[in-house]
Amino acid sequence: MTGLLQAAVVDAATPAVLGVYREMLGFEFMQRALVAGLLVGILAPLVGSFLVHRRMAFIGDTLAHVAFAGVAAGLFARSALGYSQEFLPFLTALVVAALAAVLIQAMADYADVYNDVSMAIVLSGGFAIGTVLVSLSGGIAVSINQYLFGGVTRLSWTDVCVLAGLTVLVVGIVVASYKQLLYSTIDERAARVARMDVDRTNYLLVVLAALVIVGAMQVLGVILVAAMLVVPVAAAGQIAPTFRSSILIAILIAQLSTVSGITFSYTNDVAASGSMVLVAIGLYVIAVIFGRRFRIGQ
Amino acid sequence: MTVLDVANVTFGYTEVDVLENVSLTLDDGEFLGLVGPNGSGKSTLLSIALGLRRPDSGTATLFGEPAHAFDDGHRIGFVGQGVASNDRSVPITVEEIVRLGRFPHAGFGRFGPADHEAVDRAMETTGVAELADRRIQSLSGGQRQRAFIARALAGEADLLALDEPTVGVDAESREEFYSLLNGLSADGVAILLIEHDIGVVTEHADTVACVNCTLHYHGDPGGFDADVLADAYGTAHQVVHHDHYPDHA
Repeated sequence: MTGLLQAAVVDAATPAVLGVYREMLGFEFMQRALVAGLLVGILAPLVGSFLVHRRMAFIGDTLAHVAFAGVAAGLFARSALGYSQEFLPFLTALVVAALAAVLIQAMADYADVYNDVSMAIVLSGGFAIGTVLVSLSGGIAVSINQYLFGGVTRLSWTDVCVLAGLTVLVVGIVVASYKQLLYSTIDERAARVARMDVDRTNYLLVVLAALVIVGAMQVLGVILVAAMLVVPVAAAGQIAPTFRSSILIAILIAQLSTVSGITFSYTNDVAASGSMVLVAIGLYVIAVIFGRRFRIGQ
Repeated sequence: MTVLDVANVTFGYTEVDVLENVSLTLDDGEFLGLVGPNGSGKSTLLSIALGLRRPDSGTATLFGEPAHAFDDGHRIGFVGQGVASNDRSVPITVEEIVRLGRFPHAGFGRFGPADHEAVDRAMETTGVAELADRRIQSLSGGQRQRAFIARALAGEADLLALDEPTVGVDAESREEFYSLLNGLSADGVAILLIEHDIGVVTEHADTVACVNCTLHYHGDPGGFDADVLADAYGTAHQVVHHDHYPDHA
């Protein structure tokens, strides 16, 4: 952990590290990895800022595991049924995760609360379907690893362009709907009384979460993708003076985690997704200590 | 002018009715205190009156329109239960909370000078201007409550609806809070306050309504006596006398 934090904070400015960056960026696959990581570092905290403060942090994990079923269905269709479409797993994951998001929101509306038991059932059910489909289709274990644990170095420029398009779309929607998202996050009942369209905003948010999860899944993997929605936001919440600044600080923390995590992964030949998340957690711990020390917001 | 009109409303979440044939009106500038035992249907009645729920039978109108179809959200300010509690860790400042009140005005557009002026004015009126940059959870219960009232005022609301907003607030802040409500009422704002403390309501409100499934009383605070109380709450109910409200039970 100490080494990771050094990569994030201390070593970043030294000439030796500049040399590492020069060497690393000489490889096109590392360029793609960094650009994809930076895009995820914008997307995930942006949407996560509204999820975390509604106490819906768990939905990221749920959608990621359900998206795994979508990936497995796409890989199954590609290998067993002979479809050659490269983007099929991505598209099926997108559709399945978005449908699951709508289902979760409908269940929450019905029960008047986000029920952790039903979320857990959807999560494990999605992952179970995924594992069954994987075992049915036999030889796709290598491809599935990329989705499970992330494969940032295996991305193509097309993958990166799709992620960039997704980032533009999600940022545009969040900017346009900022007032609705914020009001219903802070005080849902008052937002309803003020005739803000809370129901539509709630569905919009969970579908945005599904888009982000699927987009970020190839970088971070199913298991760790939700961390980037939650950890930078939790860290920013400790030190940000305002809500708006908390979003920007969360994005900054995610960017720092991404760059230093990928760099650490390159220099030490370890998993990039795990390194990114560990740096983010390290920054969260620092933010908690700093926030308490200086009594931010008092 | 009648701001709010609930007529012969009956409602149940299940087959058992929570409200039966309840009728209430609220005029502009009137301060109505709504009391009743726990689970008596006060919050449900408020939800119906504000158009968040539709009654099984009867009607609810806001500013002359059916409440559920009323869409001029900025005319209603709402302060809910628990605003004074310190259980949220959202990094949001007092000013950001107050700005929420202007969101129905601004829609999808940007904040204009009129919006900024309304926010500043609301913070001045409620005495939270100096706390504008403070995070909401760093404030005392009374200060937080005034910030949420400022949110309602920023929208230039004609109706202020409050659902037990003084839970967790100290006695001195509560007294200041009710003085603030009296001032707003004098300025023409209609106020509907749900409050568990009967002494407070009879002290400050113009009219009192007591509901426990049915409407047990609606009228002048002076007529809200022990017989009405026993009728609505049961004979075992005992009124607690507060030192800080020496004139009222």
